This record gives sequence, C-alpha cells and structure tokens, in this order.
Amino acid sequence: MLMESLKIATSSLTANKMRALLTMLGIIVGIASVITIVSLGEGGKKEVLGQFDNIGASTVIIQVRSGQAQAQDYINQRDIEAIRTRIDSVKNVTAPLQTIGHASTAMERRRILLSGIDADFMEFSPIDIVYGRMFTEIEYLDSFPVVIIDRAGALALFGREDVVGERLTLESRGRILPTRVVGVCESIASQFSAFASGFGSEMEDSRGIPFFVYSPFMTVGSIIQDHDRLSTINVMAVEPERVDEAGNAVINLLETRRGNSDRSIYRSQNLASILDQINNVINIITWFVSTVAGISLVVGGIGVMNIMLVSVTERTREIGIRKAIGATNKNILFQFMTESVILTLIGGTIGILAGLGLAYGISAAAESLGIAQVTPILSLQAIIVAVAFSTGVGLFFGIYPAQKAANLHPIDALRYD
Amino acid sequence: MIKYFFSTEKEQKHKKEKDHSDKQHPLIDLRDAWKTYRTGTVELTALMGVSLHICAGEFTAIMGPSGSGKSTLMNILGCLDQMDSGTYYLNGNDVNNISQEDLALIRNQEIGFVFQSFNLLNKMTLKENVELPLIYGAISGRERPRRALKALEAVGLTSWAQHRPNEVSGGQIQRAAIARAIVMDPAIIMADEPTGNLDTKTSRDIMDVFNQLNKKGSTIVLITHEKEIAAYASRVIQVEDGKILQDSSNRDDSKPEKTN
Repeated sequence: MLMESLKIATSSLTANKMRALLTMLGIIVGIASVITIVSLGEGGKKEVLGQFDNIGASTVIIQVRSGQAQAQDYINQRDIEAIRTRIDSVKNVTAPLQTIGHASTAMERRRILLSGIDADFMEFSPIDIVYGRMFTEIEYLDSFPVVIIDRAGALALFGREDVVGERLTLESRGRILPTRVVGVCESIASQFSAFASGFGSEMEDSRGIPFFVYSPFMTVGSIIQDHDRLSTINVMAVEPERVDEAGNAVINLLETRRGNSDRSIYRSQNLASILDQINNVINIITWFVSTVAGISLVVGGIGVMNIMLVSVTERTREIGIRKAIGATNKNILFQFMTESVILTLIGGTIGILAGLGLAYGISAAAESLGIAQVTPILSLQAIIVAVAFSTGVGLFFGIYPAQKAANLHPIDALRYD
Repeated sequence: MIKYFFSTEKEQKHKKEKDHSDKQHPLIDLRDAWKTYRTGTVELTALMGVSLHICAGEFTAIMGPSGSGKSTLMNILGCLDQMDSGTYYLNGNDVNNISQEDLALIRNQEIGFVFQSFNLLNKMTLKENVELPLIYGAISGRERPRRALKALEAVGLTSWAQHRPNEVSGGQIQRAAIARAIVMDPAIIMADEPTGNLDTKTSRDIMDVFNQLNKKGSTIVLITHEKEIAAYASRVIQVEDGKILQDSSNRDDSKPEKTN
C-alpha cells in the first residue's frame, strides 16, 4: 500500500511539476533560511573557539571602561609589576602596546600593526619564528630598535621571506624610527590578536588585515607618548579554574591602588564570558531567523493545503472510482497524506541544499571582502530537525484535504464532472 | 414478496466452481428496502419496500424509466449506498449495517462494477487500471500482473494491455472496465448502462462479452432502459416508482410473475 501511494503521489506531482515547485516555495524558503543561519552560526562558533584556543582557558582580559575613565585611572607598568608580584593566582601579565603605522624599505611602504611586546607576551600568543630569533632580554630591557616581522609583511616589503638583518623604517604618530629585523614569524591568519587587545575600534577604518610587526615594549613606548596609560592588559591565571579569582583580584588591586572602587572603572572578561556573549548573539540571530522561517513554513503549509484541496477537487471522480473498486477511506486518506508529505519533504530537501549553498556563498563573499572567515557547518541535528519540520508541515496541512477526500461519498464522487 | 423459483437444470450447470451460494442462500437477498432522498425541503422516496432474490449464475436485467429507482437499487445492491430500512444479505454477509470500511471491502471482494462512462483512470494503462482492485485487495505485487493479464485475456484485450484509455476505442475501454470488474473474481458483476455510451455494433460486442462471462458462471446484474440490451439477460425485472412492477424470465417466455 505504501509503495502504491508513493507511486500515485509521485505521478501526480510530476504531472504538475510547476505547480508542485511553486507550492514548495514557502517550505524551501523557510528551511533554507534556517539551514543558512544555523550552519553559519555553527561555523562561526567553531571559528571563534579555534581562535580562543590560542589564548587558552586561563586568560582573563582586564579593560578600562574608557567612557568613565579619567587619565589617572589607566593602567601603568608599575601596576603590572604589582599584579605580577603580589597576586598569587596570576601566573603572567602582558600588555602589548599597539598602534597602526607604516613600515618602509627602500622600495616599499606598507601599513602595519605595530605591537610592543614584553617577554610574557609569548605565553599568551606565541610568536612562531621562521627565520632569525626572538628578542633577547637586553633588547627588552634597553628598548633596542629591533623588530620581528611576519612572513607576509617580509614578502610585501622586501620581496622575499628571509629578511633577517635588513633595515626597516617604522613610522607612527609622526615619528620615524629606523630598526633592524632580527626575526621573521608565521603570519597570523586570524584577526583575533587585534580584537583581544581591544584594538578592534581602531582597526575599523583599515582595509583588510595589516602586516604584523613586533618590537620590544619600550621601543614602541618611545614612539607612543602616553605609553604608560594602558587600557587593556592580559592576565593569565595559574590554572583555568582560578581565572575568575585572578580577574577579581586584579580589579581589586587596581581599585585599591587608584582608590576608585566606587566608579567601577575596570572590568574583566575571560574566555567563558566572551564565548557566552558570542553565543548569545548567534542564538538571538538564530531565533530571529527561525521565527521568520517559521512564518514562512506556516505560509508554505497553507499553500500546500490549498493545492491539495485543488488536487482533491480535480480528482473527485478518481476518488469515486477508487472507492467503487474497493478503496477504503483509510486508503484514500493515506494516499493524499503521502502526497502532501512528499511535497513538503522534497521542499525541505531542496531547502537544505539551497540553505547550504547560500551559507557557502555568504562565507565565500565574506572571506573575499575580508570581513570574516567562516566555514559553514551543517550538523546532522539540523538536517533531522529540518526533515522533521517539513514532514510535520506536510502532515499538519495535509490532513484536512486528505480527510475531505476520504470522506467523499462514492456515488457523489462518481457523478462529479 | 417475490416468489422466485429458480433451480432449472440449465442454470445449475452454469454454477461457478467458486461456490458463491447454494439454492437455500441466494447471492442477493434484499428484503423490504426503503430509501428516501432529501434535497432541501423536497423528499423523494426512491425505493418503496423492494424485495429481490438473485441466485448464483443468473443474468438479470433491471429495467425502468429514469427516476424509477433502478439506479438507487443498483447503488444499494452494489454497496455504494445504504438504505434507510430493510435487510440485505450479499453472498451470506449482512451488509446493511456495516461500517464504511467493511463496505469498501465488500465492494472490493464481492462486486465488480461496469459503468456507463467507463470510469477508467486515464493516466494509467489498461493493465494498470485492471490491477487497481488487486492493490486494494492486498494481492501481492508479483501476483497482480498475472491476474490482470488473465482478466484482459478473458475480454480479448491482451495486445492492448499497455495502452492508455485515450489510445483505444470506447468498446475496448469498456472491455477493460469489464476486465477490471472480473479481476477480483467477485460474486456479482454490476453493470450500470454499460452500453449507454456505445454504438449499436459495439454494444452488441460488449453484451456478447457479458453473455460469455455468464455462460462461464458469472452472476450479472445489468441496469438498462433499452429493451434490446435487456434481451440478453435471462431474467428481466421492471422497476417503476420505487417498486418492482414485473419480474419475468426472458428465455422460456413463461408467464411473468406479478410482484408487489
């Protein structure tokens, strides 16, 4: 019986291909939009998680709320030293100084993101040296004019990768600093290092990702006048379980030193809380799109009901014939239910494929525009939910027309023209 | 009440191998059937206490002018409709007060319909049309083509099995409809004006098919308003104004038996 119903349903649908396709449209749009947003959301979550892996679960970022802060509220090197020595839940502290500038050689001049780093920086965001070496302790302490440049930067500025020993002129904030390259590191694909150090806002006006140039903290400090007024520091707890404790201890210490505990100037963000925020945003978008998609599914379902009612009317005589030769009400009900479920299932399948296609399209567009790098992920769960939903719509909106067909009186149906 | 005596040697010989009934239990046993239709405020009593016995192997024609109630009688005999009061035993089954599902089963197993307007499904081949009752009769997919072809062979359509109704003549369509009616090997074949849409020559061909089926043992109930068509039957029942006017044997010109 199932096989026969499937046969009847497919032959009826293929007889009216255009009509079937138009009827499915609502289902296709609904399922496709959910699949698009869910697969992009999943991909985005994974991407963000991957970036956070570099930082680790025990990192907490302390930020100064720039809106409320006065000049004396910003964090300086003595604060960092105090945090490093006095709080035993803290393992490392680093506060890269970052600024946008230019680097030039005899032939090229390029935009760079210049980071002034200390020895602890390596604990947070390891620099993967390809040629040459890291900075030495002397270079850190005595603010040597030395730099480490990333591979892509070396290639752009010098036309080759191994540029150890070459001269590079840095320009930033109207100052010029001649330096020498001591190392070349792997390029950082992700924008996260900029984001994590609270540099996102200044990056907004830039087109694409600049090349990364590292220099000892105090070397960069000599370019930046207010280098001892830090708005962001990275703190690493001794173990992931104590990350909240470390964050609170740092804020307490800063507030005690500044005596500004009443204005809540400092806030801490750790991996978990940042992830929570990102998840929240993704979830809100997912729910919003799902609601719109739900409306589309209901509209699509009504379309299915409508076309099934038309189909029942068109085939009244056929129903009469089938009943006269022994089809039961259940047979007829089953036949029409099968047809509406097949209709919505095909719609759902097309929707899944279209949604996935759209997700890959969006991700390719976002990548080529340099906005984000997200690979869509389609989970089995999402497919099951999509298939279940389209089946449910078919069942729910198919039952009324099918019942109408099943309850037709055989004589009336046979007389119908 | 009808007093119908039926047990001639000739008829006995025609009895089917498949034993649908015996003399004591007629195939159709309808008693005091009443049926009233209501459309708005108008009431039309189509059947007024009709009683009828038909035995296995008979070829009965039910005649009457339009509005006489013959179609209503056929619908009730064919289990397409149910009467308001009365009793109806079909092949020993009480079919008067049974569910829609059971009625469908009876239509599938015990009755084969042939309609004036053929009523084949145009998008299917003749063979597929003949297979339809087998599907609802839960006959296995392997068995269906064999039985459908056998039925088509019986009406001389073997070579047309793969054609669709719109590719063959009216007479051939009606033959296919007859094949569909006999494919489940039902107790009764009900033919409602089967030649109404056919020309005279084709009508004769179709009636010959019914005759042959009857000779092989099929019980046939034929509804018609044409005397020439009714002449093929061995028994003619005249219906008028919801009552049986006359019930007569066609073959041996015996005196018609008056009924109420």
